[in-house]
Amino acid sequence: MTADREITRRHAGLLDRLKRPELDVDETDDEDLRHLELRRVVLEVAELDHAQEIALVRAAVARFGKAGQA
Amino acid sequence: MAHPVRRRVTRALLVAGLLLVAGATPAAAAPAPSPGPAATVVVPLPAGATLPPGRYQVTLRGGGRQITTTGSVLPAAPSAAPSPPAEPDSGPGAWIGLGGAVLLAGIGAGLYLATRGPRSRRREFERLAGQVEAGEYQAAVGGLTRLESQLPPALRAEARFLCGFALYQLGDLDEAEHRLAALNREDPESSEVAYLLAYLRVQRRDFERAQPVLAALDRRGRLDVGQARRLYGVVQYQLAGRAASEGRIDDAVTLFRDVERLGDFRDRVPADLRSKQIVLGTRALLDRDPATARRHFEELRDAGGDDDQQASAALGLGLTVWAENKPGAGKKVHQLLSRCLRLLDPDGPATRRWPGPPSETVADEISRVRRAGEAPAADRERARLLADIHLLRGCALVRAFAEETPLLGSERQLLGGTAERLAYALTDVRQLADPYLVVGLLRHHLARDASERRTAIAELQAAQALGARDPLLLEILHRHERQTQRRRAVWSGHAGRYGRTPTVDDVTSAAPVGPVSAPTVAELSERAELLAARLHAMGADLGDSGAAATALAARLEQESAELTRRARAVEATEAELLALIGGRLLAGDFDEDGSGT
Repeated sequence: MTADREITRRHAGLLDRLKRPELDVDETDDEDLRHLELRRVVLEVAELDHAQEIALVRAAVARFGKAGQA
Repeated sequence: MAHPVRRRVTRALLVAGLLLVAGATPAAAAPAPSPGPAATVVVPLPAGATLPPGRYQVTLRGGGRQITTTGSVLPAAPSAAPSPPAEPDSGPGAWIGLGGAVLLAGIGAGLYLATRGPRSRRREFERLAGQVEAGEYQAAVGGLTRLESQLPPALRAEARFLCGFALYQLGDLDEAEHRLAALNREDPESSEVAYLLAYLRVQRRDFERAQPVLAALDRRGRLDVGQARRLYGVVQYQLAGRAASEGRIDDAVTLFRDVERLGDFRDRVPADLRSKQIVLGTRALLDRDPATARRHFEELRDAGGDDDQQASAALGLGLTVWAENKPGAGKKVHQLLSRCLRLLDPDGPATRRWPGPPSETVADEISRVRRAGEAPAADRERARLLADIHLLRGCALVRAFAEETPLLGSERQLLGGTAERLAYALTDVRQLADPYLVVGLLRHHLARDASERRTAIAELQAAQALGARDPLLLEILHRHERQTQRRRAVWSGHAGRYGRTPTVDDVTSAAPVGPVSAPTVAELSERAELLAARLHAMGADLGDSGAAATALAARLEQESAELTRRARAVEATEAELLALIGGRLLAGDFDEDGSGT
């Protein structure tokens, strides 16, 4: 039993010397992964850019006046 | 060092010798009196076996012990022939007595050696183990390799583990892995061996071969050894990423769930990659296949998962409706995104007060952006997501108005409602031009007085400063700039000539004048380039003025280039100055009057 305890102590000491495992994800892989995430691609999926925003505003502006009459 | 096979053969021969010794002794013969050990070994000789008389090394094994000693084969006593007169010390009894004494002496020596040999090897092992613990890996590896085969099984396995550890520390990964893998096959129950082997494979980014080793530890509930649980999290995350990038969505989702279960990297798992439906729905949206996307997001919604999954379902369906581009989409998208925000941010307000155009100094802005950059990654991600959803929701409001399904009745309400929604999209983690562009354009169209027009222009200028370059935006801003210049010129002229404030008629009827405010370097370069292109297009049509125009265009180009160079030099000086005093500026070490503290 004493020998077993000694071995256990030694193993624990040696394994403690190993560096803490870290998650080292390649930046490109991570970006590929994130691209599958819905929450990261909201504006991309909606294709919402300045041109579309301006078109939306112009379409709304075209109704100005009509709304007041309604 | 003796070859193990040869050693085993020798040992067998010695045992046989002992048997022969015993066999050569008549079973009926009484042992000679001896002062030595009380034990006497008598073994019947196998039938037909013979051995010349003499001394032999013999080994006794049994009961977990092994004794090596020396025994003698004695000459057989004649049984039929008449014997000569016996000398006092040379009769069969004397031979048996001598043989017994030798045998007993041998057994004594054997007992001594039997205890002394293993003890010395154990001491040698402990010395080598101490070297490993002391970090003297190179010195320990050779000794452990030589010694391991001479050790009893329990110590032998320990020696091989230490050897594998030392080799790993020495960077001999091939040999370390080879030895540890063999040890793991022979003793799969050893958690330390399994952990070290998996650790080594992870270091080599061989996640596929590390996984089964860790999975076995997991099944046995031994992820407490070393940092096996964390290591397993690393492996499962890496394999999940590979599965996702290879399109194995089911595998990716299963592996990411395992990463969550293991715990250490739970917050690194993308929220939407916990569900197969979300991943497949997202891919369908990116592939412009809203029908498939709708199916997956409706499945997710109907599955009735937790709030987080329901938020993703609402977001996915909102984006699907937006992409389907059917009448009345704006209103539906607004409803779905509002639901998504309630689930994601139950304590957050649905709207915020619109802050108006930015008014902060450069130092304030740098400081604010720096603070935002220091926030935890998860917080930044969340702020960015909420900003995106609020932006889309604000645009959905505008779209609903355009589609004649307005959520707010009047234009003024539309402006106010849009601004309150887009205020949430003004986040420190990412500066978007979009909120200023949308609100500024709406306000520009609705402006009822000069004050509101100035606010709209300031918002559009903010959008331009943040990267908006749409021609409509630039046209509005250029028109405003021209009007401003004209008003300034008229004011200046009247004040100088007549000593009175100009009237509206004075301003509106004034002829265009030269620029009053300084143009930017980029504007001058663009204009020079445009003029040169037009000149080239006109070619011979210029007639007599051609030569002079060409010379002026060349001079303009040259001066613009020089201006650009000078501007860059100014920027470099500015950068040096900021590098020198930027920290103090941000730390607020300057007094109001500009003097340092």
